Amino acid sequence: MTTQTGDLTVAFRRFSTDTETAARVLSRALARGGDFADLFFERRETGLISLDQQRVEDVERAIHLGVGVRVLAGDATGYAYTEDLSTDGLYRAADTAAAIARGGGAHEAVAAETVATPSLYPIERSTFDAAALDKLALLRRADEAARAYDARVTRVTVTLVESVKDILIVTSDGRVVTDHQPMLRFTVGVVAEEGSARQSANEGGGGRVGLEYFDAHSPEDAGREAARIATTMLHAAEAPAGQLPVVLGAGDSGILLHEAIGHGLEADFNRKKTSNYSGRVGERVASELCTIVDDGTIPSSRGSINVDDEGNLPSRNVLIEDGILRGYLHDHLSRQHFGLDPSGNGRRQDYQHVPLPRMTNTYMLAGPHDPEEIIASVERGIYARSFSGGQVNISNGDFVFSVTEGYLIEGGRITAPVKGVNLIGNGPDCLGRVTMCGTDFELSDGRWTCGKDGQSVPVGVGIPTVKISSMTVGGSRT
Amino acid sequence: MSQTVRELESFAASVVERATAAGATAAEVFARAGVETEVGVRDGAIETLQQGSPKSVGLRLWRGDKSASTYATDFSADAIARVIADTLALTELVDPVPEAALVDRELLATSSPELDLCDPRIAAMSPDEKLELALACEAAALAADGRVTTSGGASVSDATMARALANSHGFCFGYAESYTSIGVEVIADDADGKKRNGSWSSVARHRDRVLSPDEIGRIAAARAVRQLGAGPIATERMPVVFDPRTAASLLGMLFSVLRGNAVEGRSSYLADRLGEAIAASRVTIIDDPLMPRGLGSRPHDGEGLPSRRVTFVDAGVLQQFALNSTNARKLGRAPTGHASRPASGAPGESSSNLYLVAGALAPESIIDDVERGFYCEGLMGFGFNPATGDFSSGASGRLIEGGKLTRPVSEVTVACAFPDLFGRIDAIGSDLVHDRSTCSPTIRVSEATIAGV
Repeated sequence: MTTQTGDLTVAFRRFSTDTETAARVLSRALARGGDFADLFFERRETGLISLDQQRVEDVERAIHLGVGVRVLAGDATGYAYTEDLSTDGLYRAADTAAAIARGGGAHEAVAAETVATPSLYPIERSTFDAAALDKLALLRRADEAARAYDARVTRVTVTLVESVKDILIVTSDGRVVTDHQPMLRFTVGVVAEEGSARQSANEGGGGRVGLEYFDAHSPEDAGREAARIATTMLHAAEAPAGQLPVVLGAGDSGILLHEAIGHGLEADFNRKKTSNYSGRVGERVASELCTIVDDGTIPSSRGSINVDDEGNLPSRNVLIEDGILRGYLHDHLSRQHFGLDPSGNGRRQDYQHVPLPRMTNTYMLAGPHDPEEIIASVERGIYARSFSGGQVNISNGDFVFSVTEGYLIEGGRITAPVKGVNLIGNGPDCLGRVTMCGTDFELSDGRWTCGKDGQSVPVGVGIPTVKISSMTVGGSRT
Repeated sequence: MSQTVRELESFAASVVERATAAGATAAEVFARAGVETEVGVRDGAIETLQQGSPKSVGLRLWRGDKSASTYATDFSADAIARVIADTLALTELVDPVPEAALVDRELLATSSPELDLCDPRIAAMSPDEKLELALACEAAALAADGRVTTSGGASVSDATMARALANSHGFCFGYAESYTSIGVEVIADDADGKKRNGSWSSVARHRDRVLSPDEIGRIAAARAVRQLGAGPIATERMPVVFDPRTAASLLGMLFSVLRGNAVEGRSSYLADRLGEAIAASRVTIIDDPLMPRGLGSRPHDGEGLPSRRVTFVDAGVLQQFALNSTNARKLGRAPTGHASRPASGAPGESSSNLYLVAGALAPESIIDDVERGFYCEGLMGFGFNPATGDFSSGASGRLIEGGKLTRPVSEVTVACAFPDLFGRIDAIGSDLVHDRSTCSPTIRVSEATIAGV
């Protein structure tokens, strides 16, 4: 892993400010007391280009520029954001955020020292610098492959979304850090129709990557895969309802971990004692086959960060080891509350939002079982391959996730496709029923976005093929 | 606020003028600016005090039949000149799409109805007033029932926003709007170590329309406590009664497939069903953007078309899709005044005040009639497939036995494809309250599948 410090001169100039002004704003933020203050400058440029029915119909570009000023006083947070980056604008935001502190002496901000960060996502060929025609060619290749796959494909939409986010964080405890965060997301949407039957499917991926992403992930493959799922699921049967064994395919099924346990281990919920995992470190919360990790340092992955949005470095945090709960995911507030080191999980959607403990890339390590042996062990059950999303109730651990490509398993073999499958379970119950764990670990291609308290952040998930001995399958056939 | 509206109107109009001077053959500019705040408390003390002053401008510029969209937060003359130049350059990448032309001039609104959407008292409230409301709400929730053990926090949030839309047909109207809301979450500890959370919030355009902190707190506590001891029931087909909140979520999903984007994109199961029965004959669904103080009300839509009341489903028959100009032209129909205007990007389609028309039955009598069924009070997950209408969602609520609500139920799914679900609505309550932008009375579906143990 290489390290970098970013070019701070460029970073400060980007936000029309300098170190001295930042120090004065921080001092002003702490003028009414308060224990800690930070400034989060952000410039985010996003581009979208989409091909619909072989026409380039939509091209968009956006530039977001602003700053958030935060003051912490005990467990309380004062926060203000503005798009006005003038010194007066910064002072006004600092005064607003400062109002959280009521009494206590003024603090001086400590002189800032630059934090070196890893360089987890060097870009070879930035999509922003690429010729527009080169990008359009990628869209057309995916479109043509999807159309050629099957005559029942009636609509193809291909979208490329690119963004670069430049952040600059200055903290009152003396840290200054900057990062350049690229993101690419490529999506092929297909509708297949036959008579009155209709089905849609999406496929794609991306990450903190440039055009080199397409060397290993061809647009044609994404187009064909979307077409394959839509046509396969076109005549899928209604799913059964009730308790069945469920085999989750490698990769995207990692959303199970994200919902079943990841959110419940975000330490804001545990600090407030509103999670069903509160106070359970050292207890068994999953079968011994389960070792689950949140790791913000996977090169080029969608959920990775060189630095979190509070200026702390990312790390590989073991959440569950052989089924035993080992720890939580922290932001500045929660790690202070629990008296721990930073875990590098303080993340925010943008400068308009406060940081919260969030996941990065959450995954389960590979186990001892041959994936084919796992399928063969199921007499009658469900094989789930891809998903549209999931949700969890943090308090009681109940979670649900929706399958977009699923099949029956009959006599140890994958058979007919089934539609409308929703899987519901309870975090500790479900992870306690992981009875087989495959050797075929896979990280999902970068496509997942996590929502919490109205804030979206990009995340990664990963998992090998796993068998859950029994789960509630929410089909309609009884 | 009215001064900000006037300023934004003239700013938007000036950007349109500059864009056409720079070579745009047509232009549409949407600007917004305002203030939003939130005060949060937990365990009797302030936890968060947040304030932001968002502002942004979105441009859609045309060169002939080619258009591109951009967004910026910097209103300075230099920045706007750069954005205009960038937008015009981007149009070179686009294929000609005649259907995506600027809205037709003769369809534009020529006046702006007064809908009383902004309450100046909201922006004038002090942080201390909001703090007191939040503290009162949390205290009421904690005191409402001895079994409530933990607070997840209470908050008061609000926004006062000015918006203005201008285009090169000479349209230029702005308006101000406000929201304020109070919400709280509390937890009751269950016997098996599970925690049962209950939350409630109330939102309104005007301060005096929000429920009292006491009432919100009592509802949140009741929702937590009534889930104590909840668990799955056996897998079974049974009648399902959806409470007003969960019924409104179903209505929101149905609207998503009435949008022109879904219909024109062939990803709606209703794409070919105009004029056909898509729901039981007792079902009528209306969208009314002109309700004074309505949470979803708007004087004109996101392209400047006049707002009007639309009946989407009349006595079970699908009458209309929600269409912006582009999708209307592609489908060979007239736009319906449902263009939405995201801060960034081209218009989509959105509902305003969407509701299922109330029936005559008291909600209690809808439950009274059920020998064995499920009363659904919570839905979870993303289990609706717009292309097929298949629906399966995580659910919580209570079992109905002999016409009475009995044991609490969680960790089950409710599944029923939408054509069946809306076709099987056999009772509609009289309890429609417009307390959200999408609202429904209690409804009963004669049969759906509950999957559990």
